[in-house]
Amino acid sequence: MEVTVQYTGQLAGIAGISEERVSMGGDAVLRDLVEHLCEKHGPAYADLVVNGEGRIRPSTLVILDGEQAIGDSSQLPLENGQTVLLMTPIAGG
Amino acid sequence: MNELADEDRAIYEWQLDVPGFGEKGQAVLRNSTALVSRAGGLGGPLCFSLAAAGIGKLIIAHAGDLRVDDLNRQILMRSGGVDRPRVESIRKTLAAFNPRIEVEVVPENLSKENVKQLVSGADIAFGAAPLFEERFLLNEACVSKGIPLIDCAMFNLEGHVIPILPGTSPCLACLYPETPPHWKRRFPVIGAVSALAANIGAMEGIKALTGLGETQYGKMIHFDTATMSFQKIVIHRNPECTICASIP
Ligand SMILES: [Zn+2]
Repeated sequence: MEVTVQYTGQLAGIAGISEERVSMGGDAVLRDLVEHLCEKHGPAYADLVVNGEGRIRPSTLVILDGEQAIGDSSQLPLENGQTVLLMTPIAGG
Repeated sequence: MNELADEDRAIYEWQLDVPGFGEKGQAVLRNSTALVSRAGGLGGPLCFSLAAAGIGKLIIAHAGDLRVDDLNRQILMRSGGVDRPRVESIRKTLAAFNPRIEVEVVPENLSKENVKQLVSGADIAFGAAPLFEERFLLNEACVSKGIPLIDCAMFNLEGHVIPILPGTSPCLACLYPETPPHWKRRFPVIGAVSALAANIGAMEGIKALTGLGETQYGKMIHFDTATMSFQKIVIHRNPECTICASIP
């Protein structure tokens, strides 16, 4: 399956892109996607997205097809054609 | 509630024509007080737009002296005010623009010591500080008082606005249960991006006060001027939120 991953904020700057398409296995969950992306984009990216235990940081918003995923979203199954937006917090005034 | 004077009608004539706003909306604004946390690149144009719309009173908290590198975005400031308190420029500019509104400037940023008192006099608050610590303090005080908070933020070419109605829509601590560890005080900014976030925030505030249109509670309004894309993201209350979960 293929999902579209989008980035905002500091994460977009570190990834160097605001959007990419990613192919994953048919039974992949969000955690698999995040692990794949952290490996692909390197430690600075990973540090923004996950904490020391490899869990998605509470302040990193995961938006699935325009709606925030709440609670522990790591085991949420991905769907073909889904848009996964990862937002790092911003507070510029 | 104070009625509109003839001079109000003359100044605001063109917006009295806005369907759903009218004299009633104008009178509500005239009798409303807004607290704005920092009047820099974002809070400045926000104050300008609220002043133009005829808000009754602005309470503006902003510490420090004006620096020359503030002037690419802080449009309430004046170049003659460099090295002088920012609140001085803020007060002068707003007084020259609309002397009919009341402006209270506070030469301090929001802190544990002053936040409760500042929020106590407000009907609505706008968060535009460059630090999450100040935004969280304002969020907590607004939830405690039960008044709307319009949180407005930007970074680089993007921005977002989150209208918050305590007990109804997610608060800032619902979204960010911890202080984001990577946020830095210095951020890339073009003033027009800040002003765009500011004016989306000003409209959300005007709607929240007057009942005009639909205030976007429960949504994050996000935009990216690099691609001129806008989207409304559905956000949720956190049942374990330390700030607002106890409100049914
Ligand atoms: Zn909350």
